[in-house]
Amino acid sequence: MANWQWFHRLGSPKWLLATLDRWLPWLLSLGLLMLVGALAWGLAFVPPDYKQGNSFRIMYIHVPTAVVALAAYYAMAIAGAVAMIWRMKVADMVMRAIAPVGAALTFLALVTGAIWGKPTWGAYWVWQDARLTSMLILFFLYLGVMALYDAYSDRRNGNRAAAVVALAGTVNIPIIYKSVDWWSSLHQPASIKFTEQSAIASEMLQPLLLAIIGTYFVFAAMVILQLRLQIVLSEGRSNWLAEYATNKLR
Amino acid sequence: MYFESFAAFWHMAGHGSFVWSAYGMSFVVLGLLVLQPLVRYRRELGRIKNSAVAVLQQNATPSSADSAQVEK
Repeated sequence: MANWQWFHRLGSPKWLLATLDRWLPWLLSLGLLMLVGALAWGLAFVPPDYKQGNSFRIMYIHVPTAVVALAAYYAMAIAGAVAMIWRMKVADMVMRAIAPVGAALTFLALVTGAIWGKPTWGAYWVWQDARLTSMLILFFLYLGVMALYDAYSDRRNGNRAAAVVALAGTVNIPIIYKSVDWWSSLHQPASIKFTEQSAIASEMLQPLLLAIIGTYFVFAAMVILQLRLQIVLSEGRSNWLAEYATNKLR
Repeated sequence: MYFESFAAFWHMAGHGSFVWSAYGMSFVVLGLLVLQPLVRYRRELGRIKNSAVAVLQQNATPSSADSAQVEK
């Protein structure tokens, strides 16, 4: 018999808050360590690109934020689906926790991409480009989810509306991935390939992979920070939380 | 280290302003993503603690208030 105890525990905000407190310092410090190390490596030690010169160093922050922003959207949509199907309170909180972090990462991918575009393409923004436009739509989807869950006086209605938009918006994710192949684009195609040799020198690739892993860890820590806040906001009247708050702020 | 001097590192052969503005922006946003929920969480916990203390004081009857004083 499979042990489903962990799944039931996940539904307990009290148990969850204590667990998140334990995980947070490790995820945040490990993630920051990897990210800072990878960025220093990419900024100062890797030789410049033979075509783009030093501007390519923006890649070490642009690509990780974009990759994690896309993965975060799937995570948020799955949380929304779980919340709708099983009426799980914690899943709603996870959806609410991921949205602002995903929105900020998408914003960073857009801004760093625009700054990289100026010396490389000669323009900050090109409206005809499918990759840029679909990424902008991702940003608006995140903002839409955030706006919806606060738009109803009944919290449950807000959660449901946000989850529906989150699920419908998943259509956009494969479009973002494939946009550089389907339409002619200024944006360069993916250099990291899983099925064949990557189109990037390995000395450039290594710090990039480390930066992506580090960003995943930092992302997890940021979601935990938001999730703790969500738990405290929605469980404000329970006795166990009053006890927790008194112990924390002793 | 690829660059020969700190000045060369800063200048990045003309691309310095692009690279450093992209990284500066990123650190500001990532920093806010850590600080903003942390500050709100602390403030919210403080509010919950204060209201719990207020309820305790309200529930204490005059006679039990005396014993609470003794306990302190």
